[in-house]
Amino acid sequence: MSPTDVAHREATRTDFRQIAQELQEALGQRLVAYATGVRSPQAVGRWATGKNEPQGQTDQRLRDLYRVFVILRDTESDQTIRAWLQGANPQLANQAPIELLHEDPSAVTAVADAALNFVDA
Amino acid sequence: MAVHLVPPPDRLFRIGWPPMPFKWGPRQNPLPDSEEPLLEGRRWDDPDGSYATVYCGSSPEAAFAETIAPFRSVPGLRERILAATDEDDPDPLYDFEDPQGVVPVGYFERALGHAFVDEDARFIDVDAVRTHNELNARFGSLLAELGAATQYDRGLMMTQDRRLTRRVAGFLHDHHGDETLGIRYESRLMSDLECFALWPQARVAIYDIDVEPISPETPALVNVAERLELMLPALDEISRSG
Repeated sequence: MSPTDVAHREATRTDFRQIAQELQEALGQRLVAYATGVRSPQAVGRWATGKNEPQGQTDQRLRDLYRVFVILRDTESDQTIRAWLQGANPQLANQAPIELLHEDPSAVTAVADAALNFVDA
Repeated sequence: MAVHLVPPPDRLFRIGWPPMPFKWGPRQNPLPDSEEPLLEGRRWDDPDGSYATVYCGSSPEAAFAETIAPFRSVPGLRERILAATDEDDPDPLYDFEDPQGVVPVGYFERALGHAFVDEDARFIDVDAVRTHNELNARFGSLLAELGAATQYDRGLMMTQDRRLTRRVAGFLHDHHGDETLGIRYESRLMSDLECFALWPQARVAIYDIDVEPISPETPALVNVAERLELMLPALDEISRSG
């Protein structure tokens, strides 16, 4: 099983509260909200405590972001991951991975590939 | 018809994890089917995902440039994030605002590897007219399929569309892999930087691998960061984190 498959499986199976908790601690609530297409950064905190549950597409987008995060977290610090998510990535036509995820959820495959290549370098 | 072959550079340079910066990583995912341009994978990865490709430069500058470029700032991104998430403010515990356009401290856990290559080894130069002529003669069908252009040339080799570059890499590997170790190409970032994509058969041709730690005072890194308009952290920040 490839590292991207492992990350995909973990993102699919992990409870949304744990995902939200890990992501808000590493990336901050605003970046998570932006990547998942919600206007309220504090909504991420409510997912983390289980007070609210992300629905439908939002749940999928939260898991997509987590899939990318899982690929990066074993070798990179939280600060490096935030910098990488917001940088002009040459592999992604000089777009920021976080902005690609915000604009087009289907870009997660390309972003996950770019994450894998970054940790491989 | 034949491709244009070039000898190896004096040395190959690669940023990677110590102690084995030239380690062949995991295979790439296969290129998905798509009628739209794709960004999946790196420029010269195997389109079928059956083998791994290692990317290097012929200078430390090339190796650094390709690995710090992802930290360049995106104009207006911070403002767009704020505008799209303005319903309330984050909990102060989880509200991070990092400076943009700075190589993070964590990058310096990597190392600069360099190695010699067998002098008899050859690489395919994808920026050479002879290689373009070979592709035009034997793989023009790809251009027709993608509607990309009528002829291969240097400009086309710079495309971001992986449907083209990865399939060209696959064609070259399948038809010329027996006589070569990989691809020589020009960096998209700076025209004076030369890069190499190594196929698995290159494993046995690289030797005397050496590894050096990197720091914000490494001259080649300082040079490239300045050209890419990136800031480097202070040396004492690296020391503190280590």
